[in-house]
Amino acid sequence: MSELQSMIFETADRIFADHVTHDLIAKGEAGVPASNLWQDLNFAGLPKALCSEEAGGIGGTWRDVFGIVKATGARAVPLPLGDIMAAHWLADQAGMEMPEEAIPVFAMGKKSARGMTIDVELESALPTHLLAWEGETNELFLVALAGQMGSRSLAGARQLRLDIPAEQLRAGAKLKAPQLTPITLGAMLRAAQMAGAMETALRLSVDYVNERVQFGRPIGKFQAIQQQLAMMSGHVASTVRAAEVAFETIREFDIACAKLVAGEAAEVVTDVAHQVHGAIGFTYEYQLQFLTRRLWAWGSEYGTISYWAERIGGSVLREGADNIWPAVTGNRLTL
Amino acid sequence: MAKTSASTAAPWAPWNEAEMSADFFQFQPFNLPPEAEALREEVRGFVAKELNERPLSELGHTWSGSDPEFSRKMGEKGWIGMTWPKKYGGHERSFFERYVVLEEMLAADAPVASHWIADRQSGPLLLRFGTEEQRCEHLPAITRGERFFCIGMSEPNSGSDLASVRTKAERVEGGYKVNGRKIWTSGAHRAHYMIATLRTDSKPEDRHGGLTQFLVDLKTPGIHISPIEDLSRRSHFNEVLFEDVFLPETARVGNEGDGWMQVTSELAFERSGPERFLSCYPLFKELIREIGSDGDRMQRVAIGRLTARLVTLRRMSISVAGMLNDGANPALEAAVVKDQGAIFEQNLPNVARALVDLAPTVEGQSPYQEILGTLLQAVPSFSLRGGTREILRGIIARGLGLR
Repeated sequence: MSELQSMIFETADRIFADHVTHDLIAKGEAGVPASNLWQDLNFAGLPKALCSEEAGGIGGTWRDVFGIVKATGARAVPLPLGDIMAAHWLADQAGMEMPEEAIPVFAMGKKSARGMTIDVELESALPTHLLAWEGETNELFLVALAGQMGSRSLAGARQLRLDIPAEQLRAGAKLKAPQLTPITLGAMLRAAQMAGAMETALRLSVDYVNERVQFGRPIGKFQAIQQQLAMMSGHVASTVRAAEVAFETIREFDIACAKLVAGEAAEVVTDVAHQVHGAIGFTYEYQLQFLTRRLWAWGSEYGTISYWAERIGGSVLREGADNIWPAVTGNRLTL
Repeated sequence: MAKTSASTAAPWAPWNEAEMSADFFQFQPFNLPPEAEALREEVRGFVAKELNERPLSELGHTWSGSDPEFSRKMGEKGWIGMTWPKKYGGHERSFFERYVVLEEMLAADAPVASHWIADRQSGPLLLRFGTEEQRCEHLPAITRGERFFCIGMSEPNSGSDLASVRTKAERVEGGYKVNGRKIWTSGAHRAHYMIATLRTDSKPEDRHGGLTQFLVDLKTPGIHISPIEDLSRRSHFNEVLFEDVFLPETARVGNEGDGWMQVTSELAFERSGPERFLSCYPLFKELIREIGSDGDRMQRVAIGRLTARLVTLRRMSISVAGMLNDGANPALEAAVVKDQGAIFEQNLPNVARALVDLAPTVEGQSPYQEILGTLLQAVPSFSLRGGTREILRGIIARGLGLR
């Protein structure tokens, strides 16, 4: 990690560690905003970490904030810091003014006959606005939230679909030739969060099997347990590496791979983590559920395994047998 | 619900600790540098020239296929012993440059088996633990692609439990006398030398301490090499019998009793390379050709899943190369890549069969069917060779702090 990376990571992780408890996550899922946590993060300037210094930001790159986004997953932080950083980043990229008190989250917009449909998974009651990115025109729209409820995701997020009539729509700004699309930006964030959640699920599992005694010894001494955790750890390592690459290159293809690998790994990780924990891991009291429920939810947000697999596979087949290897080694595969 | 030890052991503890890091592994973010990429076109030009018009029966063997002439040509290009010191015939190039040569050879299905073991592990072992005389005698010949090695580890009663080897090297006047039997020795019938792990001290309480490694000239009287057919009737591996074989003092590699330490470091090299996920690449390529440029949804989804895994494994493998380049010991990360790589490779022929309705063949007409036939009959060995899946996961479990 570079100096900037470790500095902002340590700042964020310290704040997470100070605030995020079982109780705070439970309250967050029940709709209570984590206001104190937000105050500290805001005071540290983290929501605008990706904005230029002229725009009041830290001037960080996505690579610089990878550790932070991963940590929001690792600690099941009940506040969508990654989605908020993304909204500020988009606004800054497009030169769009953000109202002083606004807490915006990134959302996907799609123009319809009557106006625009906005989809968002809102992980906290704290945000005040959506910053909707319309993928065809690359226009950004700031939409105030007004207590809409929607359905709930397994992670406790409000799943909102807002239909905004055309007469109420006024684009705030336009992105010029963005490197990403709305769904790849969302997928990149979720891949990193999933990587973090998997790391904690692995850590909890290892600690638990070293503590839990049956047949006169810690169950981690049994090969049956060791083999499962070893296999699981390989999937965790793959997810972390793939997500890290996505934040390094910001290429759509790498993001698609990261989200797909995360989705596949999540199946193994949730399975094994619960299996080695036994009944305690299935309780609300124990914290594993905060992670596994998020892994199930995030796996479906911004593209499932089959969504990304079909896009990657279609691209590979179009490339053709003899061009695949040069395209892989030249990092030239696209979606 | 019954109380468990976990509920009394403060299950929330890690949540609020700053040190919650789960950094069991260090896959550092390395990328291939420009000088390594610069080599790629040259390697591609070479294999395109050398490997055109091969019979179907030679396809799909990747690093199990051997051709001494091809190895000599690679030696001429300077692509064997690439990272070794120049004074031993090496080329002092980076692990990244070596990585590019390896992955291009694998992707091209090149017959590299003759020199592969010497380049990957016997040479590095001699470089690290051998005498100056041993290095000068063997390393230059290896880099020229003229001297081939095999690995004498497994025995009829010592497989995963390598420390139980019983082939004995007894001290005699001027050296050692060896009796016993090695088995599953890949390429022994084509190799000039073996690095053998032998028992020099038979005290049963010192399983690990009683092992020593030797550099064995396979022409020495008393050595009998018998090829063993695998299930496809190919003979890659052998039984090697030692009957009163005399080895001079100068054949010993390292100190008596250091064999276990040396053999485990050798195994880290054995497990670290791109051959642990690219052995099936020729099938992936031909599968894409069979499906064609569109495919149906099921085919696109399956190819997408395979591609994402392949690309991710490659990134992890490049990390391992980077750590080797920095002089680190990524034995644990190598075990992870090999385990994940074997899952990928062993799954690939089954995915292919689910996507394309063509039977595997052994004396067939189409490259796809022939490679599928070859690989279906090879993949069971992928989670056996170089350490079984169970042994690797045991190593990973130790890395996790479970053993």
